[in-house]
Amino acid sequence: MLQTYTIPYKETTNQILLISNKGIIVDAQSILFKNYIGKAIQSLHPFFETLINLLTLKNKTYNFECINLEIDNKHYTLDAVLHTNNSKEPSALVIQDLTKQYITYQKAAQKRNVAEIKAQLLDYNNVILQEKEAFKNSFIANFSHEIKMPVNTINGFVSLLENTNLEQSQRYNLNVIKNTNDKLKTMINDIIDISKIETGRFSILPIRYNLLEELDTITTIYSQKCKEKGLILNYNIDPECPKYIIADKYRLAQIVNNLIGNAIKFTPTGSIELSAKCVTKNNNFATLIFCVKDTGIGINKKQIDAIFNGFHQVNNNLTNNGAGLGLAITKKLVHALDGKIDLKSEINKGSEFTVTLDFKIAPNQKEDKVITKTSITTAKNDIKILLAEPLRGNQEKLLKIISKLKNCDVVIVENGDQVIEELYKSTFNLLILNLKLPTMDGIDTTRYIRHSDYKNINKIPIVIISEKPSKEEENYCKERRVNSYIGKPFDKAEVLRKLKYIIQKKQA
Amino acid sequence: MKVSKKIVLLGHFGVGKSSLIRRFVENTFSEDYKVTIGVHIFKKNITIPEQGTDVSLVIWDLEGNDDITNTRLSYLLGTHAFIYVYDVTRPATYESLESEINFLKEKQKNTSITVVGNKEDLVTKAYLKQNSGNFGSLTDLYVSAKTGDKVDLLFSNLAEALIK
Repeated sequence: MLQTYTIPYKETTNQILLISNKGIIVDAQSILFKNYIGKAIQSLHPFFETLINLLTLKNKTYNFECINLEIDNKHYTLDAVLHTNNSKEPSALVIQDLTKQYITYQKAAQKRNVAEIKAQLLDYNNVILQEKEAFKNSFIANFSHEIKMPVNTINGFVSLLENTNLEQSQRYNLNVIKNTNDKLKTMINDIIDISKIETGRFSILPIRYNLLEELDTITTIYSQKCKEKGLILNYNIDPECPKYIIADKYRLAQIVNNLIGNAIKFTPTGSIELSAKCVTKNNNFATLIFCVKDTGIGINKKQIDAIFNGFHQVNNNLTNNGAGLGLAITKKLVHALDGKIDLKSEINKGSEFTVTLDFKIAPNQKEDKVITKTSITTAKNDIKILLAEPLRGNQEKLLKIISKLKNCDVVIVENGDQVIEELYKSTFNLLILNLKLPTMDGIDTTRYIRHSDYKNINKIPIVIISEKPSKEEENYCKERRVNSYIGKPFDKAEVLRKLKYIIQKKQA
Repeated sequence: MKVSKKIVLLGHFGVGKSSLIRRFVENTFSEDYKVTIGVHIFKKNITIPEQGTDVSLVIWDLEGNDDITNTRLSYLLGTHAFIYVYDVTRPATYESLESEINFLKEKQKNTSITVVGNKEDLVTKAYLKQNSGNFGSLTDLYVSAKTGDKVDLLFSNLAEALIK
């Protein structure tokens, strides 16, 4: 190591040139290059032009380090020292050839600079990417909002037209508009979904729910669709599957819906089978494999990977079947839930999608208590209230107060999971939550609701009931986007005033 | 009439000072980055037709430095004009633009300074506009050593200004 540095320094070579005030070489050694006596120094290299103006200055010393020169077709990296004298005597230029030493420095500098430039560009590209991502997100959010409005308006007017007297051809045309608009709506929702997943703005919200009932609901819906197309939907659920699981009910349904919907789309004749098999199970967890098998057109081996990418359709047919985002969303959802998705397919024989997911088994596998639905009046009611209150006494007191509001339907549930289930089933105008709800307390339930992707869920006004009210607790609830806070004992007038205010505000 | 003018190019490493000079002197460009150590000196003679003057531009290509105060001051002796180069794609090269220019103004009070944003070919006009707050007010010219865009203009304008 020491030798590496020592050798080049030993080999350092100097050359001295004497230069007149006018820049003429009056004497010189010829150790590095020819002495060029009688020549103008600036003719050797442009570097020396700088020295000309300095030569007339008396008794000065100038140091020039690390100068790269080419003289007589040879490259030098050298240090130069210029000593000027009085006007009668020539100046001395001492040149020290340090080419070898500077090569060592050059190599180190090259390595350091390349690494630093790379790091700077990487940092900057990350900033640019983040900016682009933020722009994309806000663009998609605004775009989806803007485009959803006219699509919904078209739907509304189509419904109005449907109820008028139309000729057969007019009704046919209207159906075309309706179907096209429905496809557009699905496409917009798919784009929003995929953008949310890709940008990490999508959240997994697990609740306790009845898996078997959910699968049953899905098959009921799709049985009808299959029937319309002349297909048979078979349904096979392993009895080992746990009944109550803790999972994101909406996301799992979205996966199964996408797979069955896709199978129906690409199966002209024959059957579709949905099966769920429990492959491992202990007291807390179960691994389930969901399989959707069809007798459809099948997928070419080469296309198998591609169909999970966005905007891909078998046969590149984008005209009739949406944007081709369904399977891309499904794959991303399965991965977001830490599961895996596989596909086996054969052209003209059919496809088989299998999704493997781990689930937490709900500790309580007993049936939920029957949900109470109370209609305050017999007339068609305008306001739907969901009351989540485990205590019978509180239920009765609140019902008495709510009855003063008139035209209200009240659905009573007793825990947080039931609240979420009810919200997915129907639309409510108001939610009243006891802070100390079982399974998921009032604050956790509120958090779940506010993070939901559905506007009719995440925007619902929430009133919290507290057994031991305090200003701190009220502030805590409001910081978590609770709209109103009511403490016990109930002040009938105050409760009514708060409920009326929220309902009127919502209706306005 | 023939005059000689010394032009010194400064700026951070990797901004393309050597590439700009090579494009101007030899009309060549290489994507490979080779670090400059110390200084390389080039010469090119140009004619300013309007004045009928031949100008010999002695161009000093200084080693890139992320702190201008570390520049060897002997390199600046007798300089007629500075060209300060930064890379429009690397904020680190223009973040201290103002203080670096002020340093030069302090050291060489009467020497002109032209501020140049290189690698213009890598960005859009919209990008330059968006980032004008970072370097726009001080920048005299955006250039590209790679495409050669405005490189001749940079040196010929400078030569013309120096002989006025």
